[in-house]
Amino acid sequence: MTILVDQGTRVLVQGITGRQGSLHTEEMLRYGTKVVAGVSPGKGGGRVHGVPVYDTVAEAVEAHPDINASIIFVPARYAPDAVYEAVDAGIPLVVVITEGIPVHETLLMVNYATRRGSTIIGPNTPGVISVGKCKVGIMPGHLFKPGRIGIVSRSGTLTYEVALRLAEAGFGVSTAVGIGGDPVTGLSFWDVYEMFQRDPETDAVVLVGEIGGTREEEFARAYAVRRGKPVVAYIAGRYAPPGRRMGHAGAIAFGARGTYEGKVEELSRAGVPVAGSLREIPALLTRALREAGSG
Amino acid sequence: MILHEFEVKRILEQYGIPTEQAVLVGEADVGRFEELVSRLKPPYVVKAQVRGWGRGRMGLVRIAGTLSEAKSHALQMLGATFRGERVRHVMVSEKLRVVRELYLSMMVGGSPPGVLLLASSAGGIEVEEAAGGVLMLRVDPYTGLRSYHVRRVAKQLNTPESAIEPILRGMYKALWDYSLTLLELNPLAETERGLVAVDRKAIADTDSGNPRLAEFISRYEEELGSLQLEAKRWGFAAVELEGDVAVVGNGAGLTLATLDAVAEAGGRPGLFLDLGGGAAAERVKAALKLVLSEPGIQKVLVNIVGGITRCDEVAKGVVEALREAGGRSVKLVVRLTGFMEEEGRRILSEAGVKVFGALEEAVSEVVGP
Repeated sequence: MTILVDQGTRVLVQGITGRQGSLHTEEMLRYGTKVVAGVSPGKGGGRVHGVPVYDTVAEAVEAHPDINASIIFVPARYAPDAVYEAVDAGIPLVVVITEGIPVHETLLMVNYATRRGSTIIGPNTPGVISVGKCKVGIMPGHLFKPGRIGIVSRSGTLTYEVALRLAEAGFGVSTAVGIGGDPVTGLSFWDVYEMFQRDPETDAVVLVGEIGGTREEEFARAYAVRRGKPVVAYIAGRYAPPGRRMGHAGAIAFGARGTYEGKVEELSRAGVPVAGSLREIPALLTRALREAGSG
Repeated sequence: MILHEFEVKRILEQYGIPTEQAVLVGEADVGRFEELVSRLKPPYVVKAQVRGWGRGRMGLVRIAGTLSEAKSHALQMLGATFRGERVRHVMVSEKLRVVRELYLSMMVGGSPPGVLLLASSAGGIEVEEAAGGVLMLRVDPYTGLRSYHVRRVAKQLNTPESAIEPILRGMYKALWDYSLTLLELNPLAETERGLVAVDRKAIADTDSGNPRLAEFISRYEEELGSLQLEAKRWGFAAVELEGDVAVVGNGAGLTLATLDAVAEAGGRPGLFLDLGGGAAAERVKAALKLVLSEPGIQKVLVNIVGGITRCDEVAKGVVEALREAGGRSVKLVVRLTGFMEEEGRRILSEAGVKVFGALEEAVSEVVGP
């Protein structure tokens, strides 16, 4: 068992005939992910890398009742519609790669999905990978070595960087989840941590955060009360100027809110060691595992 | 996009939220200062219009007893810079007699995500540290603002429901109508005229495509310098900083972490540039040329973790940019790891560009003598 996805995951690709959809379908298949169907309105009947394409999600699900996850490569303008379509078809896990979906649309979409029992990863996420088993995302699979550390992150390439450093230090990854770089996302750090908490294949978690918003602070408050498996955090943006949007729509600190110092303070107070640089992550992890008695 | 205060004021007024009498004075209007401001009664508050927090501490909010004093404050502020941004407008407001300062804000976020409503009876500067605490309510987007929310806020602020209700309803409606991810009244002042929003801030979601934002976006774009305009054209996220080291990376988080590593090693970042994902040679070339066109930049660190992005493509882009930019002498260091790393390294080494596999090595090379 791993979290969110595993060998039993059967994936639908929405937007499969587009450039990104087609490229990453091939990459996911190469990784061993069971991509069973794709959807592109008006392109039904064709195939992409051997995967049958349908006009609607309803048709795809009817032909492949084993579909239990969808990944969305649909442009921002049409992406919310694609999400509602997947949720209404009863797909329990929807990974939204698309960047630039209006925040208020995401707010409605995520609340709708929650009410219907679907989990949304993203938007603006690299997706989720359970190393060696299944990848529903766009991350380069070869950078992740299998192991027992969970990663939960707001950022794509930074996740790969952290995975590389863990590998160099002899740590592998059980599952890595990108919650997404937007101000509103389907999953929080705590949601994913609770999944790792229940996952027998994960011993400790690396939380990769950044300036802006209050997600890390929310995690810290929950962890302070209900701490379990050890967590080590890294927060990007220590030297970024306040009041400027640093790439991600969510990465903007304003006033006293969302600052590096505030995040580090809350995490430290909750008992989460925060690495001052990327290089420190493996050492902090080693110590945290030793203290937890499992390293 | 952080809106200007005067833009937020206009939005609030549309929703019936009381604000003070004020006049906006742009750089071109200085000659008519007395004429414009004379319809207001002294004393005045003169506030530089900048997109950010913390202007008070930088002397960009000042009180004036007379018209001529107000003008002299305004002249000092116009043309000043606030975190690299030139002050183009000042707002001159009537200074109201304030009995009590309150804080009220709505922001989109949280878990599960909703509209977070924050209220505190201690308005002013650092609301997060307020004694008496901050009330935080989550408003579900499907059920909207309910009467019990209003009752709880009224109690927290110790104000009559009838006074706070129209303000809360107006704010909530404005948040949706204008695609605001944050709307903050700080302070919301209790005055002899009742509650008045005397200062306000908002962040609008520019991805929304909301036509109501068109005027604000076009003003924002007029304020952009040539570097920002070019970055926008290519879809790069670029932020100008104070130092001399340009930091270029693929992905927002990675570029931020690279900036931190440079600063940590004693370097002074002068530019943040996120290429975004899947950067092909052409985009990398454009980004590098943009960086090299910045006169303040003496050193460049390119940090690429290749996944979807091919390291060999990046290398080609770097080499072409160097060739086209001609003799400008900057120290260029590249860190490449991941997909097609070997080929990328070969291309760069042959062109005489220093290339590293580990970020720390690349950082000490770029920062070092």
